[in-house]
Amino acid sequence: MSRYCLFFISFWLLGSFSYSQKKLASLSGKVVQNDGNPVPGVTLLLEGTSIGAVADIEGTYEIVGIAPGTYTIAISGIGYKKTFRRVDLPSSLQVKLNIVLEVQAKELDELVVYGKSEATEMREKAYAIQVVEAKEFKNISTDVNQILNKVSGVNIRQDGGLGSAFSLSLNGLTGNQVKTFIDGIPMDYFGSSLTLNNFPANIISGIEIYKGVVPIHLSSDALGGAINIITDKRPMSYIDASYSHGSFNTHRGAINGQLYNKKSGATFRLKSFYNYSDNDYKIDVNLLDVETGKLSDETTEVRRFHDSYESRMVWMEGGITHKRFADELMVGIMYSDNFNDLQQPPQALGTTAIPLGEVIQEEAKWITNLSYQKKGLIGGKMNVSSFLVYVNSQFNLKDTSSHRYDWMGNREENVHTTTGEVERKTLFQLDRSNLLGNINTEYEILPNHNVSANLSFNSMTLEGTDELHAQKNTQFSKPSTVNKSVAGLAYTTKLLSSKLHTTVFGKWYQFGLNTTETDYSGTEEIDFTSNASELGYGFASTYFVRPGFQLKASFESAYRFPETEELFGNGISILPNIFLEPEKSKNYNLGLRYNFKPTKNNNLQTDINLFLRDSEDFMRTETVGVRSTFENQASVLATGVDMNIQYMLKNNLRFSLNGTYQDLRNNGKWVKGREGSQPDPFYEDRIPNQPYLFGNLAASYNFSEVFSADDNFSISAIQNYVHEFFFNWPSLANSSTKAVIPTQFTSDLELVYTKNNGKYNLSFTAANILNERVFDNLNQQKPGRSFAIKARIFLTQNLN
Amino acid sequence: MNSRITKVLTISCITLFLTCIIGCGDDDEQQPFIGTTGDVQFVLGVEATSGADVLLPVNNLMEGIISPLGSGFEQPAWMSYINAGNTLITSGYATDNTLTGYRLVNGTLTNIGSLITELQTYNYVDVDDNTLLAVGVTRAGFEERIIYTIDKNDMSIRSRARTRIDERKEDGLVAWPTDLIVKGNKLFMSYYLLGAGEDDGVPAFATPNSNEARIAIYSYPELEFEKIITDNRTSDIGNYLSFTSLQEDEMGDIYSFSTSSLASGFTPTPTNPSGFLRIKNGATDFDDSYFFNFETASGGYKVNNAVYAGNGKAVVRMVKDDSGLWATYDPDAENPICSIAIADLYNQTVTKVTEVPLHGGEWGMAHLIHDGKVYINVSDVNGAFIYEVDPGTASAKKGAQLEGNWTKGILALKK
Repeated sequence: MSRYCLFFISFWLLGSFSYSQKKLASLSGKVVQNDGNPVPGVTLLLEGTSIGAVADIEGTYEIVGIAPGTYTIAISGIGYKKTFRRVDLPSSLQVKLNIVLEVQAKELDELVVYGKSEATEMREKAYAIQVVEAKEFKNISTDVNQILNKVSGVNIRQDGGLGSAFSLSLNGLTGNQVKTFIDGIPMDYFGSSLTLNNFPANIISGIEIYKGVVPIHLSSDALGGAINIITDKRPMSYIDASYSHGSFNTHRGAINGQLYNKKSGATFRLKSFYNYSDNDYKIDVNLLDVETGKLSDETTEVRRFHDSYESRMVWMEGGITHKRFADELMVGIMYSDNFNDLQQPPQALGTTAIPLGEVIQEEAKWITNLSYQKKGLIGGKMNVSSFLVYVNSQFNLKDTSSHRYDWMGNREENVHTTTGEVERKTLFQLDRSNLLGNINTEYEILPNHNVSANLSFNSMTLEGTDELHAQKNTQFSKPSTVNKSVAGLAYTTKLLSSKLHTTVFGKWYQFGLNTTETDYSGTEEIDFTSNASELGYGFASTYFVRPGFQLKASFESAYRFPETEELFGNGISILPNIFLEPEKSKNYNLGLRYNFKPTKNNNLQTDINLFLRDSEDFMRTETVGVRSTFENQASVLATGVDMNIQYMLKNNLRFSLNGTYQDLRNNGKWVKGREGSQPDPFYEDRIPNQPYLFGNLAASYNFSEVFSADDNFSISAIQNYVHEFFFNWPSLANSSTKAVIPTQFTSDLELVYTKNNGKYNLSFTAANILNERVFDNLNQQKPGRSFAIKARIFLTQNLN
Repeated sequence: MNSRITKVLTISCITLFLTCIIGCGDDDEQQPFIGTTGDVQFVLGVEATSGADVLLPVNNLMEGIISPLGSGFEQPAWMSYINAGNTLITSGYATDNTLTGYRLVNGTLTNIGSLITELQTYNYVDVDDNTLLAVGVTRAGFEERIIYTIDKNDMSIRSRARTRIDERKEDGLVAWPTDLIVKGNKLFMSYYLLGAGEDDGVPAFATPNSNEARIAIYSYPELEFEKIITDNRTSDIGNYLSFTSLQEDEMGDIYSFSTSSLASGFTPTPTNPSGFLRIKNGATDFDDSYFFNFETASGGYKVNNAVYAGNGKAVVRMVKDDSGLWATYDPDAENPICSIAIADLYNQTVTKVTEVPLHGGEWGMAHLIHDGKVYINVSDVNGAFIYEVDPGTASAKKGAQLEGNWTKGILALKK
């Protein structure tokens, strides 16, 4: 590990001197609309290079470090006609160029551009990527999870209310098999304080969803798919504040802002949020008569009483952005914590007869980060980005109460004096520290030929105590270390007059684990070490048959090593399994994208993806009773299709339908450990406890100029469907005796009003409006009808 | 402007209406709970290869393949299967500690109801047509145990008796019951002393003080503690999750087995020999004149579990290799260590049943005594089979194969 650290330090020292010192030209100006109003967010690119800029909120832009010569500038912005300008740039000259753009009927079929260089954009285009623009969701009372749940191929299974556990599945892979990133940094290191479930939509500018094949710059060991959340980084000063209040005493506030000085490039960013909810939604329980042990035949509606959740986060970053030597050089510090009451053992199937009244878990984290990004080095041919992150977190889990509760919230004192509410008493403290680093470089060797390289490492140490629980105390008293590193190399090319984009890549993974094996009584203490290194590879290709018609194909042979929770459990209901083998998967994807626009006002857009995942040692949870462990399923074959159809009439009416069918089957012919002697009776059976048919339907209507010229009102109805599935292997036992997670069908309604072109926003959400009884993957009841109202204000100011 | 607002309202209302139309589909109807019809006689509790349990009615124990696929009752957790006469009871720690009763109703195995206990129960005795006793314990700490009196007809708790059985805080030891038997107006409860996990020197489940057989005696049906009887010729009676540590013969005498075995979960290994003790009919003390030293009689084997089959004969699962702690609790064993013998409790002789190969042990010993034969589970990494053991001839026949890991309960319900 130390050699990586050394490498990083050298990189950081050299980084700031490495930009080219030639006498270069620069280009600046202002982008305006036909009516003279400034156009922010427009991308300007010098064709044939990867140099470019994004216009700021005032429409001004500056492109620096241009080698002298004659260039064509491509100017593109959503809603505007793409424009080209020829410009002559002599040495050392600062050229002014103002640009007038023509407004065009809004087109949403193109990928959203985040001001990335052409190289980055091109590289990504080949992947089976779907991009969600957060703009349309920002005003609604949503977290990232709720946005993702509307994307085809994605299904989010959330256990309860705000802050509760969830798992995301993407094209047949679930949970940790799909990695999430924030601006390229793996999100799992932020822990439970910062997850898709509590990350407010305000902070983000977009979400990239990579299905099946993960580009090397998202360097981690994802098995098949990645989600990258991109936070807002535009060069401007702004403040974005929101507050929402909803059912179950839910409060969510977020304040985000940026101070940017154009002259010095000095930038200060703040991201912060506060979330609180009692989560005291009503559920239907069969009340227990403790005396007779009988559950009542009738259900009674009760309120959950020990399920509150609180989380806070403040992340401050300061540094320089949009300067010659760095597009971004930032140092940041983040603190976050969360506090969670547990109402029942999280892995229990259905509602427990005896609820928990005092079990809590909490986590606090300090994170420091350093990031550097520069595009257009060496005459515009090279892009570099890098980050270093140090994470220190403390997790506590407490189950020490001797009291017993019932669903009416009554407490009976000292019923079990020496045991906790779940099992043995536990007072578990786990300290975790991570050092993560990443360097990514891209280089244009020839026009239309790019290479990129990526190197990342993650070194983690875990150490914990439990004065009441011998097994956990032994397991964690000696520090456990987990080291992972991934190196990637990719080559990207554009052929056939840029109609065919192809990337080929290789990844080298290394994994090392040092930990302790113990037993129930905590007396055994055996050192356990495991090391592995693997080579992955793949390609991604896209072909533009004609404008609006695109074909995509990709393949990856991917590896994933077990994560902390999979190896070490969660301290309460997930038991450790330090013997987990890495997962391997060969992922094949085929996609088609078609945009049909028969008339000016009609637009039909279709996406279809076919996928196949051939996985070995597939990790999945096996639940027995109230506990579960992660196990390796020897072989799993997943095939499926996801599709998305969207129809737009003018810019007002929009219908979208997306659906996913994924068929995950056990592909192992033999019972594990008995290869060659005992055939697996569940061969070709559907993998249990996984939704396989789901989708959603949305209709929205948009009114502009309702009360004034600069306001907007929209109403949307969204319906979500998840077909029923078995909790256990489908062929086990008689199907009428089996635990089934019933079909879920919910309808949500969203109303959004914005004024002053998005400065002031007010939204209202009614979720599960028909108050359907819906259940999570463990048959625990989810919230019924709920309402939330959200106010958001977005103010910008140019400090120059 | 007004028309715009009207339009907003109209379209909003239409959207709302559509939401209702599309969303108000009829709810999925619950399928009726149906069992397997047919000529049900035997019921097995089996663990499938996935590790999940199924309660499975079967018609033939001796031929073919028994499969938990497509038939039987899916179980919510890792269960115990209790023979309670006219009722079959499953017990496990799923969402809660649940006991569920099954009976044959018009020839169909039917779930007759469940009850929930605050403590997980590990030992049971079927008292009569209406009553089952169950003992609930905590897995750690010094805490009251509860003896539940359960009404089998409506599967409810009739009463509770709280007892600490035999608590030795100064030694860090607590009593873990191993079996129950009711005789007349007495309840006999065998138990062993294990580490409560509260004392650093005595880890949970350690047995530093097990060179003694112990039985707690309670009045029945009042369930008031009367006394503890001990015998230091052998070790603690039974083992973790043994259901047959105390058994009554045709003369009303109670026989108990003691394992003195590391492989049966005793650590450190007791030094007294493994063997059988007796309590004479009507007595409330061990019979001083009787000790069957199994280790001597068998040539070095220790009892792991034993099932009384009648005429003084017991089917014994035994081990010679006693080197691995908990090694008998391994139905999928790669290196099986258990064998079967017939022990004559009256003549104190042991005859090995050579037809049964070395196999892995279980939690307890699944068994069915039917028409003078004893049906048992014989399993290891290579598969699971039912064996029919003839206690009279000390021979056995290999029966049906299980498409699963092992058979945890072999029961029969009378029609």
